[in-house]
Formats: sequence, C-alpha cells, structure tokens
Amino acid sequence: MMMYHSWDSQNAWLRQILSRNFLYMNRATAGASGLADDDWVWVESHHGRIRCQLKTMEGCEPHTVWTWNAVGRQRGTSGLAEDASEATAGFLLNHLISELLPASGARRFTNSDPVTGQAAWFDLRVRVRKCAPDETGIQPTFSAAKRRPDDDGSRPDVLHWTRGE
Amino acid sequence: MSREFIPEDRAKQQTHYTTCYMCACRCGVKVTVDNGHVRFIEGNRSHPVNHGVICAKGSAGIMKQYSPAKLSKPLRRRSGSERGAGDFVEIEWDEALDLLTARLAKIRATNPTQLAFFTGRDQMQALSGLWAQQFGTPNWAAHGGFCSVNMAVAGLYTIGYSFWEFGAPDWDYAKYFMLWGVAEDHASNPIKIGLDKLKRSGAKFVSINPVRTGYSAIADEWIPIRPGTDGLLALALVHVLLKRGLVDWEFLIRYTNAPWLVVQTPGMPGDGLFARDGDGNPLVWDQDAQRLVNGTLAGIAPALYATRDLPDGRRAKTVFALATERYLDDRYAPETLAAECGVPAQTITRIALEMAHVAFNETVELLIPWTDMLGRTHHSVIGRPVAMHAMRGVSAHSNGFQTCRAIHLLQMLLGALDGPGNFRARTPFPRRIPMRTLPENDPALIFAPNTALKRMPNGYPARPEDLVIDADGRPLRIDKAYSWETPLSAHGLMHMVITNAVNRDPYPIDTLLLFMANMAWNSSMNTAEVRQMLARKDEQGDYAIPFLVVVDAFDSEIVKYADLVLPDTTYLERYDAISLLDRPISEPDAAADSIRHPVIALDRDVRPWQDVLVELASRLRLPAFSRADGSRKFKDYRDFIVNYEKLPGVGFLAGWRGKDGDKPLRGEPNPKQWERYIDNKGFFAYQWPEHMRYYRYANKDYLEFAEKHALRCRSSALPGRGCTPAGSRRIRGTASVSSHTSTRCRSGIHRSSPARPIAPGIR
Ligand code: SF4
Repeated sequence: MMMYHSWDSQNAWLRQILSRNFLYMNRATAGASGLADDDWVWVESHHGRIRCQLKTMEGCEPHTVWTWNAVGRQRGTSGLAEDASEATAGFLLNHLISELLPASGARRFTNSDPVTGQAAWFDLRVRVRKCAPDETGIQPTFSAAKRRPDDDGSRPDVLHWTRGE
Repeated sequence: MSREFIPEDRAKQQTHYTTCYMCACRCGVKVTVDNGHVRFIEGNRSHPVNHGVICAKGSAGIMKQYSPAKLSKPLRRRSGSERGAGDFVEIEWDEALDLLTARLAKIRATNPTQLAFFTGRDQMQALSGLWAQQFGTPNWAAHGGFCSVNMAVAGLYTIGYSFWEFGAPDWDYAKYFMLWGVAEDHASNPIKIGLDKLKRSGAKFVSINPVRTGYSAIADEWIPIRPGTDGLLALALVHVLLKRGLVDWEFLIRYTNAPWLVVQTPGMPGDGLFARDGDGNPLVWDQDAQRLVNGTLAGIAPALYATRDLPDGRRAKTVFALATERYLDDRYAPETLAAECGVPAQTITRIALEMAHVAFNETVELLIPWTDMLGRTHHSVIGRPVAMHAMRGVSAHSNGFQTCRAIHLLQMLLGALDGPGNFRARTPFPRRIPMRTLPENDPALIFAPNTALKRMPNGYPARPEDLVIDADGRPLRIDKAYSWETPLSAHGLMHMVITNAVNRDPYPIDTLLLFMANMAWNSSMNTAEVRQMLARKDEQGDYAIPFLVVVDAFDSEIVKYADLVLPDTTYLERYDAISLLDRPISEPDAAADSIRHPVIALDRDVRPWQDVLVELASRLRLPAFSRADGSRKFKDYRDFIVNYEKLPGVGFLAGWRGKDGDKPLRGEPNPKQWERYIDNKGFFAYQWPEHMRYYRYANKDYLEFAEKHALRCRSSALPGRGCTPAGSRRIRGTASVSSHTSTRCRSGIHRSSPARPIAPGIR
C-alpha cells in the first residue's frame, strides 16, 4: 500500500520502498511448477498476456498470484527518468483484464458486479508459464512519452533534503 | 559523503495544521515550514482521525510537493499533433478557460449529456456532483465504481451504513476482530491504532485474505481463502450459527425486518415483496393477538418464524423463515464449502463458535440508559463485541455486493451492529433504508438545454421506476449506470466511460472531463486498447471522443492524451472542505469534518480545481452559482464554502456556523468559518452524548437530533414508498435480513423477552 492513492507524484521517498513490482506466487506452488524467484514468466488470461518477473512467498494462498497496483509506468511519464525501473521492470496486470465480458449472444456486458457495476478486477483467472531462456524483459512495452515543455529532463541521482531547500 | 550538521533555527520556522492527502484516510497533519519550504510533516495529536499518528506516506508528502512530475502551466495539444503524442504548447489560463467555457456553453445549450465529467481520487465529490447537476448532465461520477462501491451499496441497502468510511470497528471494546480481504485503504492509521489497542487488550484478530500482506502480518489467525469466495465463507458461518441457534433473537425482532412477512406467489407479480396493510405498513404475525398486525408498532409480539395466509388469500412467510430455510441447506454447510473456499470445515465451524462465544458469553454492557425509536427505554447498552472490517478485497469481484451483504447478515445474526465492541456507524450514517436520494432519471430534464437537473446524477434507486433508462429501457447515462445491466450502480461505472463513448453505446459524447484519474494507465481495464480508443478517429478523421480535458496536479499517462490540461495545486497549496455532505471524517463518537488550507505559497502557474469549477460555473451561469441577474454569487471556492447553503443553515462545513460561530452543525453562514477551523487545527468535531452513541439506526434521541440538523432526511421529505411509508407509523433505520427462496416453514416460536440476553436454539 506504499503507493496507494499516492501514485501521481512518483514520490522520491516512497520509490525507495518499492520502485518496481513482481508477480507474487506461493513458494510451494511455484516449486511444483518449476518456477523460482526472478524467473521471467508469461501470465496469460482470456484477454491477453504479459511478461513479468516472479517472486515467491509463503504467505500466499496456493492458487493465487498478485501484484501491487500502478507501480509500473509508461516510460517518460510522471516526471520519472526514462530508465526508471518503474518503466523498465514494473508492469500492469490491467492488460489481462477486459472491461467487457466475453460475448454472450449479441451483447457484451460490463465486467462488473451485475448489481452495482463494481469493476470485477479480482475475478481474473490466469495461467503462469515460465519463459524461454531468451525471453526476458517486460511485455507489453510502450514507446517513451514526450517530455512536457516545462520539463528539462534533469533528474538528480542523489537527493538531499535539508531545511529551506 | 559527510555533511556539516547545522542546528535548525526553530524561531524561523512556522507550523500549520492541515489534512493529509497522501491516501484516502485524511489524517490531521502538522506541517513545519522553513523559509517557505516544507521542512517536515508530523501527525496532529489532537486530530480525531489519527491522534498524532503519521505513516511513511504522510510524512513523505514533502516529496509530493517537490515532485518533478508537478504540472506548472495549462497545456494545449499542439494543433496538427496526434492525441497521445504528448506534444503540448503552454497557454495562459485566460485562453484555457475561454476555450473550455465556449465548448461547455455550447454543449449545455444543445445537449448537456454530451459532457461526461468523471473524477478519480477526488475528495470533493459534493462539489463536483453539484456542479454536474447544475450543468445538467447525468454523466457524472467519481471512481467508486472501480474502487469499492459494493461495500457502500451493500451496506447502505442492508444496514443503513457501511464499511468504507461510513462505519468503523469499535476498537475500544472489541474482543474479536475479523478483517475480510485487503482493507488497508480508507482507514489506514486508524486501523493501525486500533490493532494496537486490540493487541494490548488481548482481543483476537482474524484475517481472511488470500495474501498475508499489510495488517494480516500481525493477525492472530490468517485464513488464506481462495479469492472471491468470502461470501460463501460468510454464509457457511451463518449456517453454523443458525444450526446451533447462536443468534441474537432479541436484536432480530426489535431492530431488523426479520419478522416481516414476505409474499410467496412464485411466478406472479408481488412475489418476494413485503406484505403490507392498506397504509403501506409491513405486516407481522403477532403471537399474543394471534393475528396480522402492523410490524412497526410497539407492544407487539412478532413471530420470527411464521407462514400465514393474507386476507387476500396470498401466502406469506417471515423474512427469517426464508433466510433460515435457505442457509440451513446443506449447500451452505462448512463441509460443502470447504473445498470452494480453501478453508477446512473444522476451521469454519470453529470460527463461527468463537464469534458466537464472544458475542454471547463475553457481552459488553455499558450502563447508559437510552430510548429506542418506538419509545422503549433501556437501562443499558448491550454490545456483542465482534467487530468486522472489509473493503476493496471482497468488493472488487462480480459477487462483491452479495459477499458484503452476507457479512452484514452475519453481523445481524450476532446483533453486532452499532453497539459497544462491534461495527459502529459514523455520522451522517446510518441513513434510511433505502436512502432517499434518487438519481435524476427524467429524460425531459436530462436532455433539456440550459437546464439544471432536479436531483443529483447519483443516488439510490428503490424501484424499477427509479432506474435511469428511457421508455424503451435503454440507458440514459454514458456509463449505463442505473440501467438493467447494473441497477444499483450508485457510484457510476467510470471504467466503462471510454469504451462506451467510443462505441457510441448508448450514444457518442463531445467532451470527456477527467479529474485525478489515470484512465490511460492503471485505472482502466484493458489498458493498451483503451489507449487506442482514446486516440481513435472516425471515418471523417475526427476523434471518437472529440475533446478530452484532464485536470491534475501531476503529469501522467492520461495527461499525454489530453487536448487541454488544467494544472491543479497540491494539497498543501489550497483550500479543501472534507464535508459532512460528502465523505466526512466522523468517528463513531463524534460527527466531524475538516479542511485544508494553503500552508505554502504557489510557485507556478496552477490553480486549485475547486476555484476553477466555481469559475466555470459562474461563467456558465449555473443557477446555484449565479444571482438572478446572472452575476456570480461566489468569488471563489473559499467564498463558496462559507456561503453556499444546501438547505437553510446547512453548508459544506458544519463547524462554527451562525454569524458568530456559535452554532454547531446547523446555522447561517459564518464569514469567519475558515479562520475558526484553522484556529482549531483544521477540524471540527461534535461529540455525541453517551445516550446517542449506540444503536443509532434505532436510537430515538439520535435520530431526532440528526433529522433536526439535516444529518438525515426528515420523514416529511419522504416520497411515500419503499419500506418506510410517510407518516407517524414509519419505522426508522431497520436493518434488513433478506432471502428469496422458500421450501418449507416453521411456525412462530420466538417472542420478545427483554431479560434474556442469549437466545435459545431453534426448537
Ligand atoms: S494514513 Fe494518514 S498520514 Fe498516512 S497517507 Fe493516509 S492520510 Fe496521510
């Protein structure tokens, strides 16, 4: 939750807690599937697939995978340096989730609670597969966004914070 | 690298109290400013939300203020450049506002539905909703539809208050606490403070969550449930409680509609509706009088289990009989559901028995006399000290609404609602069930040029007639909210707006106005395709969404797609009202609201979005913002907050009303209201006297006070419909147990007997 409702500013101090995400999976489940920490994996849903890196953990229900929301960013946005890990290693699960359910008859209904319209983010089912050895790096990627007119692109490597600065 | 230590000159520093905006929790903060810069941010020790506690994010607000992502000037997409390329030219505010006003004025004068205004992490929905209503578009909502609307709707339709920030666990008296799913969001520091209290008092903390992150790390028991099966687990717990008769019978009879009779005419109109007398009162079977009586009266002995024939020959069963039949079925037995939930049957049974033990054998009794809504006096307040909290985790599933209702059903069976130690309400909740705010659905108004809507765009339908659809049943809103597809979509469906607009389903729009929502990235499903939709053109080469306005303080993926970018201020640079008309910071023991005010000066050409909204409303001459001659009523947002009255004496801020500031909650505008808030460290809190602190859905003194101060709508304002007919025999704040199916019945066996704290089992 270190970024929850604070994604907008790409806060320099919060980025030090986490500046990229992983796909998290139960360690025993991973072991049984031949997966280990830092493996690149394909995550496939009815709607698409993404490529990302895996971390295992004990505190996870065996059939569940999860990640942090909105840590991954498009290159060149949010005041980040172009090689920021949010853009080079961070990723979104959103690409796997469709806002429309698969067609039923002529219509496609919203992927939401049928009573309240609540977006059903967490209903997604995925398959996780180990990537081939030459398959590394996140997928999909997006081209770098253009800098704003008021942004000269300079980013400090070290940030000191003292009074009046 | 070593740096020389220079002691700080505290005399040159200033401190200001305001409200954090690093998450939705809205803690009070104390900001130290040195030479016009933020030096550090601490918690405000006197604040009702966080009592001085600050989290890593809150103190890192400094780096929000100095983020290189901050926008600094209005931007217009360079003519000829492609949308999404992020090729902007800087423009002046006058140009930006002229451009936008002209576009909006044209939309308003032709077809106001052509404006869709949706907001993200907005803490000013009362203002943005009012603005949309006054503009005349139904196409407004905040981001609740893709956040946690299930919790709000399930709660408000079931118990009159809800998880989210409309209720809170009673950390002081709870002895058993169940945290359902990821729920670290809206109440962050309060949960930390609360968990600390539980740990000190020896209460048990059970976490039900597929992932052991966040607060689950310190849970006494972690139940790694399979995602999306929390509702089944709750109903398995219900099954165990019903089977063993571990139910608060008194509570159900007195404060819920469990004894109300439900019409049983399968396949025919009226099936499943409450049986009512000629005046619209719900009917119950009185065991003493042996006849059908108005269930809202005092001095009756309603049967919890009964099947009776109504005078017109239709058969009816009590709500509780129906619920019992459904949930006693083996379908809900722990053994049946264990595999689906991934939770062993013994664990389910044990948790149910632990909860029941705490509820009924470790009852908290406070010697506080109070009077219930039927005028019955009670010498004490009884608390079933089982508290629960849930939020996004159980909410963000297609069954989240039913899951949340199942959790509330569990609370009802335990009698664990708004009493000491359980799940307590926060003003202005509990509200009436269903709430009395209906969404605007009159097509003649919705499509009328230059006309404000009579009702707000969002509300809580109670009947098919309240849906926002046309005569042919088609949605009237761009997000299709309140249509048959999602009838109770009380927070709209922001995640559908772009797809629907591009598909012209139900219709195309002209302008999409987004505030603080990154719809080209993490706030959209299907992100890559949504980005293509944002840039999609029709056969004529025009964008499918002709004009996209993005309002934000920071650069982001969605900013790159804007045709016009209006840069906002940060939370340390502006005024904000965290209002009782919106989502206030009330605590169970106090009605409360709070403010932000500028603690540092602006250093770039940005404007608070609230001021811009008031400015646009004035330029467009929206009725609530204009005088009869068309001139502006409010100078800016600060002025609006002081002088706007929703009802006589009711405005955005409840503190220090009255021209001398001596009228809490309700009174005429006070020109010095902002100063009073600032003097009081940024918040206002109205402490409830002890006898108004509990059972507020049924607490006579609280309900009367709340009506008088417009914290709850008056009965006279009610449309005479729904489960709460107008008139003196209305029943207030009744929680609703629900069920639909029936197979067999039992005769009535239980009756009111105030002396018996724990009920016998089902005989
Ligand atoms: S929990 Fe409180 S201090 Fe922390 S970010 Fe949220 S509002 Fe700010």
